[in-house]
Amino acid sequence: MTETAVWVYAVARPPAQTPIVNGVAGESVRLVRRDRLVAAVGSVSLDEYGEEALRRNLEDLSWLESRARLHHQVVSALAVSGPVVPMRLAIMYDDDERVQQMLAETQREIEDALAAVSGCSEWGVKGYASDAGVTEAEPGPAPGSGTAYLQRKRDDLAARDRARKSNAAKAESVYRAARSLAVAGRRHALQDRQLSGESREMLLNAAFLVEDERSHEFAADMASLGGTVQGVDIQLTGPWPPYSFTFAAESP
Amino acid sequence: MSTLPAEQVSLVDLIDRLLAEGVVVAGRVTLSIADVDLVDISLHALLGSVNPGVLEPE
Repeated sequence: MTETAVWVYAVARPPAQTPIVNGVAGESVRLVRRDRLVAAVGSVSLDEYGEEALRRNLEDLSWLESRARLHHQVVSALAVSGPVVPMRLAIMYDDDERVQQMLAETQREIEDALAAVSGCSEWGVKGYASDAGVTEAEPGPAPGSGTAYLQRKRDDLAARDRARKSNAAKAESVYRAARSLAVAGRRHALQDRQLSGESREMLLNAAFLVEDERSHEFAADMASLGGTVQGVDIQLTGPWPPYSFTFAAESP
Repeated sequence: MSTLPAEQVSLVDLIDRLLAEGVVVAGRVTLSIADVDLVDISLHALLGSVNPGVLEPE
């Protein structure tokens, strides 16, 4: 028999329903209870999820992608029956007892987090520059005198600087508008184009915790904001489990 | 509220949430199987492992 570890997906309150989806290793998911908390967990083989194997596997983008999706699927399934505190990817314990010990040790924090996200979902708001970089290598008329060339170069730099400032201001106004309808807001780092495959320049990558009752209003507002804040294409994703709002500090 | 179906989620959005800075319990939970600090496995490290030519949009 191979050795296993216990992978934790998320924590919720009883009576949470056991997610009827398979976990990251194709294993069935079960609930481990301790007092007023339950953790959705699954047993995974150390051959694939032990320290050494894990280090190697996490560097493999397709391995990572499938595990991230499966993890997300379990968290989402658990979230159907009530508020959840999702665990980051690849949090594992020796056995169920250690999971219970973790639940006991973090009970207060987790209960606070569950209360904070109760009745809310996370929405992602991404903003992209809608004009495709005016200054990028335009085939202008052939350069005249050296002075004209230098002048043009200076103008280009100044235009770029203006664009940068105006983009930052637009991103800020989108963030503020979204935040005003949300319970909490958080900025993620801008996404790398190589991973996102997005050709437009990303201006904002934020997440907001929104009351479920207000989700329609929030979505409608974000849609109309695309028209109000000129030059920003807004992309809304969600609803997500509250990944960005459990134990994490909020951005100002 | 039921959440976004897994197949409609982009990997990069998922990575923001599941691996990137400050997300979820990290400070309190220790990996008991080993001292793997997964916070170190950042998007940056991942990108470093990816051949830039493969994912580059044309």
